Amino acid sequence: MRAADALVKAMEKQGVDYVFGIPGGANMPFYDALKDSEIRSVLMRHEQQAAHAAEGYARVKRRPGVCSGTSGPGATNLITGLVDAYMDSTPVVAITGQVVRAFMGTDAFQEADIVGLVLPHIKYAVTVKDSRRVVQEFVNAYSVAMNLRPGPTLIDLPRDVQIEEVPNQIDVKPEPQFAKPLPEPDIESIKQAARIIVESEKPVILVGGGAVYSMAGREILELAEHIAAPIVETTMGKGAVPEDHPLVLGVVGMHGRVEADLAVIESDLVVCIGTRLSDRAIGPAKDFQKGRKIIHIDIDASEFGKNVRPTVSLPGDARKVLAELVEYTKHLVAKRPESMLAKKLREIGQAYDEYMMSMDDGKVLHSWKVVSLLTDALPPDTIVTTGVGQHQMWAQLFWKNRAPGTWLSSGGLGTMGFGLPAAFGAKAAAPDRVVVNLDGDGSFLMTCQTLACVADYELPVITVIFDNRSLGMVKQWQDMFYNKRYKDVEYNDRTDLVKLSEAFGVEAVRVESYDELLKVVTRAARSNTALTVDVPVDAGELVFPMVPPGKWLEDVKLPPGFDISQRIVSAGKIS
Amino acid sequence: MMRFVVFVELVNSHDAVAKMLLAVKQGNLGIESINIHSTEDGRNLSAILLLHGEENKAEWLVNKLLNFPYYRSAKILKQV
Ligand SMILES: Cc1ncc(C[n+]2csc(CCOP(=O)(O)OP(=O)(O)O)c2C)c(N)n1
Repeated sequence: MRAADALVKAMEKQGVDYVFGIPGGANMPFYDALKDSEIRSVLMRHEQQAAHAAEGYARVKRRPGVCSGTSGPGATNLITGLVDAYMDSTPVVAITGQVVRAFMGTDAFQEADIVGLVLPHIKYAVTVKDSRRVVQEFVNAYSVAMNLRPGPTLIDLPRDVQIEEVPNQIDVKPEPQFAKPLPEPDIESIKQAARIIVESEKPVILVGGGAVYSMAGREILELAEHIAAPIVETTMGKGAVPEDHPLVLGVVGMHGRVEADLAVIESDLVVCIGTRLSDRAIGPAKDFQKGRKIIHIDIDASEFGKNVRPTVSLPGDARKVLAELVEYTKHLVAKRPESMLAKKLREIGQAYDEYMMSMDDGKVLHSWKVVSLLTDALPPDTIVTTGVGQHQMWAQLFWKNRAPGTWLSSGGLGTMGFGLPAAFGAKAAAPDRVVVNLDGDGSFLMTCQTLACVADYELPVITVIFDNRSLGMVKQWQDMFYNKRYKDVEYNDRTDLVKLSEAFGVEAVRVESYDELLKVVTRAARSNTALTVDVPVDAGELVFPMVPPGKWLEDVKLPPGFDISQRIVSAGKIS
Repeated sequence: MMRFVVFVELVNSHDAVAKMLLAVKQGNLGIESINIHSTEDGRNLSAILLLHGEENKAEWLVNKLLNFPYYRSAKILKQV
């Protein structure tokens, strides 16, 4: 059989059921082989969207999403999605066509060194020049995408390699380098960490994307409840633990919940779980480290000390390490009574919510209210995706995720346009669940062609566009840091988003009230139909809290008029 | 600022060499010398890198490389 047929058979064997992509000259043999397969190939309208769809699929299904593009532009269009997947540790396998071997290196038509282009931002990429290696390389790439810290991989197949005859290959296993065993927890370090926890007076638990991937929620809650520690999350950590649990204070950092920022400021120990401790989450590392101990749990040892030097580092799978840590901690100390600090912080959070709601004068629609009404109205296992910008920050502040894998957002790369194709991929992975894309008008316009796939493949997602007719987040920065010198951040009013959606075959409506919004969204959710809702929101909104870039969490700017100084325990500098 | 000698065993591919140097770049490590030889009938390469940079970066580099299947082993031989 042709190497392309052998590849597709190997994909079926691995359980691949979707390929998101676009055919072209160099990956046509692969598509020809797909024609005879049960694997559903989804014809996307742009390869970037194929990669994001594969990400959305992967994060819901907890196995690699597969995308494909032809050589040259097809492959280069995948890059944004692959870099996004690398930054957010998402398992994606890209299969690209390449020009025939004899033409490689001649600047042939549609030749691009895609492996060279993606190398810094990929776990593994290879051009397979030996047709007998195609299946083995796919199995390797598929395995390593999930192995230890997940991430994207790419196999690049010259067209003539795909059509060469190869023997049928059954039961091909990944080579050892591509399937490394999980490291066993280091018990001595765990004991040391347990002692540090016991000595701490104000411990806080910080959870990142690694806690979501390892499904460590139960163990995190067990530790938190035993030591009465509040839990805060990075953007990627949302959903690792149910956000309606009283110890969970929400997202921390640049646009974090005020109570979460305060928890970290007040802490004398932070137990960091599956997070790379980015500046977005913790501010400057030197401030974060000052006066507090750090326990860092991560599957990737290169994260220890990269940004923050830990007091103790615990390499390994978060869930396994935590299971041991909980045991040793319980052995050393009895369950602590409810934390007064957590209670106080929760009250501050409630005061923030109440204050925001009191700002609603009924004249315009407000983003935070839209998010908070929707999160209450939709089923708890709803999968939510976002674009990038102010709406994303409102979503992370007000959406309550109750389960891992229900929050899909571009955390590391901050890729506008992620929301809709990721939602589409998520719906392919979980057709029975409600999938809602909370999008900005700017982000939506970057990848809106995915609506054509939503209609074609009957994978109905609901898109709610926070339509402020501007690149709101950039405008907010110009407002705050560039003396309101607005430049290239406002759209004219000519793009009709309702007609645009309808042109792709997806019903759309512009709403003028919260009631109308709730009515159409809940109806679409109940009847499992696709819908685009254009929500005209206040164009002058600024997202607060905001910690200015480069500043420590104490310098957080709160909504103008919101005074919490009376309620704060001792956090001096909050403005 | 410190100087390090790092030893890496990698598969014999341009990509493995390129990715190793891209990691050196990401770690903001200065290059003093890099020697690469093929081993095992040309199937693998071994590299000795003399680098300088921030104190924790050599450890970061070897751990980072071990995330990727191109690298069979990576260790710091000396730090001064
Ligand atoms: C692909 C890409 N280009 C540019 C940016 C820079 N950027 C960050 S937020 C933003 C504005 C986003 O506008 P919109 O999607 O309408 O969301 P809003 O902030 O208005 O809610 C821009 C341009 C980005 N993050 N991604």
